[in-house]
Amino acid sequence: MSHENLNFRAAECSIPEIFDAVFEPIGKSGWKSNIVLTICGLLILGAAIAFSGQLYYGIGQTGLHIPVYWGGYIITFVFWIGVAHAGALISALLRLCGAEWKSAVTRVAEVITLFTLPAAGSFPLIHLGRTELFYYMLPLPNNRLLWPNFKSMLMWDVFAVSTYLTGSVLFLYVTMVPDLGIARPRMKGWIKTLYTILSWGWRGTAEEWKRVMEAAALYSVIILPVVISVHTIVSWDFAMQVVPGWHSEVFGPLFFVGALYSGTAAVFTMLGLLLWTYPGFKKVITQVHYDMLGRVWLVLGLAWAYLFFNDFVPAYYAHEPDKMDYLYYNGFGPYAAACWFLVIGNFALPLFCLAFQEFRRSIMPMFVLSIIVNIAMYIERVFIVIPGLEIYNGLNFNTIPYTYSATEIAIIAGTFGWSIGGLTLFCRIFPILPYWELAETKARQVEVDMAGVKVAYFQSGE
Amino acid sequence: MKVCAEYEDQITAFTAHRAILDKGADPEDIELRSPYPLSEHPIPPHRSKPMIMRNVVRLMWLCGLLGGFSFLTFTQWEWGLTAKTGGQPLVAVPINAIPMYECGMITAIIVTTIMFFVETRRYRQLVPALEEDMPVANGYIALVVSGDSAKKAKEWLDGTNARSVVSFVLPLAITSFLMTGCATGNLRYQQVIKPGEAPADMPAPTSLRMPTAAEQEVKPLQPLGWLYYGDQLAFERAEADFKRQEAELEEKVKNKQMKRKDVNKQLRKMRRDLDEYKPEILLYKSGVPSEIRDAKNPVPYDEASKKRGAELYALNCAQCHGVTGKGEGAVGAKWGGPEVVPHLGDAAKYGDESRYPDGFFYHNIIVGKNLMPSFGYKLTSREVWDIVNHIRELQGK
Repeated sequence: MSHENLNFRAAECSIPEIFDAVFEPIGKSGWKSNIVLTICGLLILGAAIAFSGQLYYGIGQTGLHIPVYWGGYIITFVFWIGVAHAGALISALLRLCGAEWKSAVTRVAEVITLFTLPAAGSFPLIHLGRTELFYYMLPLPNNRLLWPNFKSMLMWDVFAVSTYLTGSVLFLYVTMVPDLGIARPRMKGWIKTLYTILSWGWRGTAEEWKRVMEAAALYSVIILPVVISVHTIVSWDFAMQVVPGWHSEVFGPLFFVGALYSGTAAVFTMLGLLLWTYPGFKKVITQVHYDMLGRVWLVLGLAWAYLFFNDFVPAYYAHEPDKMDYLYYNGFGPYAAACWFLVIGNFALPLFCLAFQEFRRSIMPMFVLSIIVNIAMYIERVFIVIPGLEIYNGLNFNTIPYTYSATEIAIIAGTFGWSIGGLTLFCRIFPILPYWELAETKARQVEVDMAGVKVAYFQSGE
Repeated sequence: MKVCAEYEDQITAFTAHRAILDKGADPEDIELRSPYPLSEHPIPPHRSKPMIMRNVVRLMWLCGLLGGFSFLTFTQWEWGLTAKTGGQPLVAVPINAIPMYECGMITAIIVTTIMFFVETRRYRQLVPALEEDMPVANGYIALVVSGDSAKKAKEWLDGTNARSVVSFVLPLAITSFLMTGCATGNLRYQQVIKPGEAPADMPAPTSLRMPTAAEQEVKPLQPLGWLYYGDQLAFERAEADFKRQEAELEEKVKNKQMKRKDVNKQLRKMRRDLDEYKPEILLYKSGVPSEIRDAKNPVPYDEASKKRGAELYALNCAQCHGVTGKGEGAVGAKWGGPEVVPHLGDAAKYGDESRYPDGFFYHNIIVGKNLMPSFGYKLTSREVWDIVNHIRELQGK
C-alpha cells in the first residue's frame, strides 16, 4: 500500500520554472480565446442595443408588471454579487488564516470579483428606469438642499457596492504590483511598457516586501467586514419588505454564506477553464489545491444547507399561513420542477459528491459540479424574488406570471459577456496566478524525511 | 557605483550580507532584492526606515467614520424639515451607522493604498527597468551595495557563493540621461561579467555554461571603462532554450505533427527574439587601456595552445582575415577585400611587439574595432589568448 502524502506541498518545479509557467500565456492569443472574445463582444453589443431601446421606450420593455416589480435584473444582480464574494473569501480569509495553499487561487478569485462586481453594480442602475438620473443617488451638494434618502435600501447598496468595488480593485492591484515589477525586465513590446507604468518602479527590496505584506494584511482585515456588510445589505433589500418569503430574519447570514458558496463554485469553473486552456498551469495548480478548496466548499455547503432550511422550518412548525402558501407554491406549484432541481443541484448532489476525496481531487467532475451549483444558485435567487411577489398581491384577478422579456435576456446575456470576456482578456495581459506568492510558498517550504515519508512544513515569515 | 551580487537562496544571501557587515559595510548602503518576501527573521541590518502605515490607517479610519457621521448629520440638520421634528435628526442613529461604516472602510482602503506607494517611494529609484533588475526577474536574490561601501564590496563579495558579481560604474544621473535615448532596451553599464568561483559543494547551475577548471585558471583582465550592453547569462540561457526548442520542432516535423512552413515561421520569430538578448560592448575608452596593453599573455606559447587557437581562428576570424592572415576571407571581400582587412599575418607590421603587443589583440578581439564585431560575449579569456598565440604563429614567431 502506497503512503501518498496528502498534505499540501509547494509546486514541484523550481522558482524560475514557476515564472515560466505563470507568464507563459502573457501576450499570446489563440483561436479559442479569439472566438470567446468575439462572442462576448457581440453579447455586449446586443446588451447595449437592448439597453438603448429600454432607455428610449421605457421600463415597459421588460417583463415587469405590478405586482411583480422586481424581476430578472434584481435576480441577476444578487447572483453576480454572490459570485463576486469569492474574491474576499479566498484571498482575504485564507491570507489571514495563513493557509499556504491559497497562493494558487487568490488572484483567480480576486479577478472574478473585479469583473463580476461591475456587472452586478450595473443592474440597480439599469433597473432604475430613468438611468440617466443615477447621480441623484450620490450625496452631491445642490442648491435645493436635497440629499439622498439615507433610510433607503437602494442607497445602502450604493455605499456598500462602491466600497467593495474600490477595495477589491485596490487589493488586486497592490498585490499584483510585485509581479508586474518582477516580470517587467523580461517582458516585450507594449506589455513591457504597460507593466513598467503599472508597477511604479517596483524593485523587490526587502523593505518594499515588508510594505506589501503589511498592505495585504490591512486590506484583508478591512475587506472581510466590508464583504459581510455588502451581502447583508443586499439581503436587507428583501428582508426589510413585508412580503412572504422575503421578510426573514435569517436572510443576512443566508445570503452571505450562499454568496460564498456560489463564489467558490465560480472559482472552480474558472480553474477548470484555466487548466484546459493553459496546460502549463498544471505544474502549479495541483490536485491538492482542489482538495483543500473542495473542503472549504463542502463546509460552506453544509452551512448554506443549514441556513436555507432554517428559513423554512420555523415557518412550517408554526404553520404561518402566508409563508406556508409560499412554500406550497414553490414546491408543488408551477415552478415545482425548478424547485426540486434547486434542492438536488444545490444540496443533495454537491454535498454527497464533495464528501469523497477522490471526487474533490478530480478536475473535470469538479468543473461540471461547479456549473450545476451555479445554475442552481441562480434558480435559488429566482425563488427568492419572484414567487413571493406573485402570490402576495391580494388581487385575485391579477394572475399574469412573470417572464423574462427579450430586452432583459439581452442585457443579462451582455453582463455574462462582459464577465467572461473580461476574464479572458485579463489572462492574456496580466498574470492570472500570483507568481510571488507561489515563489514564496516554494522558498519557505522545508522538506524533512520522517521514517521514509517526506513531510513538508513551512517556515513562518515575519 | 553599485555592486550587485546574485544568490540562489536566502541563506547564502544572508551569509554574504553578514560577512560584508563584519568587514565594515554601512547597513544604509545595502539593499536586498528578491522575487518573494524573505522569510528568514530577522533580516540582517540593511537600508530601512520604520514602517508607519498601520498607525496612519488606524487614524484615518477613525477620521473616515467621524467624517461620515459629520456629513450625515450635516445633511439632516441643514434640511429645513428638521424644524418640524423638534430639531431631532430625520434618520435614526442605527441607520446612520451603515453609510458611516462604509465611509470609514473606504477611507481606510484608500489610505492603505496611498501609504503603500508613499512608503515604498524611498526604495524605488527609476521607473524604467534596468539590467540590475534581471537577477530578481530570473528568480534569484540580489544583494546590492551602493555608496562608499561599494568600492570595496566587490572584493568582499568574491567567494561568497555568488552566481555572479557585477559592478555598475556610471552614476545614476548619467544612467538616467542615457536611458532617455534608448528607453525600450535593457541597459547594463558594468565593468566586468564574471561567473564567479564555483565552490566544490555547490552544484553547477544547469542553465548556465560554467568555464571549465582549466579555463578558469586564466583570469579575465578587468580594465576600467568597458561598458557592456545586454546580458551574457540571459543570452546563453536563451540560446540554450532556442536550441532545445529547435530540436523539438525538428522532431515534430519528422513525426509529421507540424508542417515545415509553420516550423520555419516559428523559428524565424524565435531567432528575432534571440537577437534581442545578444550582448555587445557599448562603450569603451578610446585606444587600448594601458593595463591591457601591458598585460603578459598568461597562456604559454605551446603546441596545445596553438592548436586550440587555430581551431578558434578558423571558426571566428578566418572569414575575414583569411586562413593565412592576409585578409583574403570571403566575408572580408564584401567589405573591401585585402586592401581594407588588416593582414594579421604580416610580420613586418603586426609582428612588431613593441607597437602591437599581445594585449592589443586581446582588447580588439573582445571589444571589436571599426567593422569588426566584439567577440567578448562568446569567447572566454583563455580562448582569446589562444587566438593571440595562433596569430603569432601566423606571423612566423
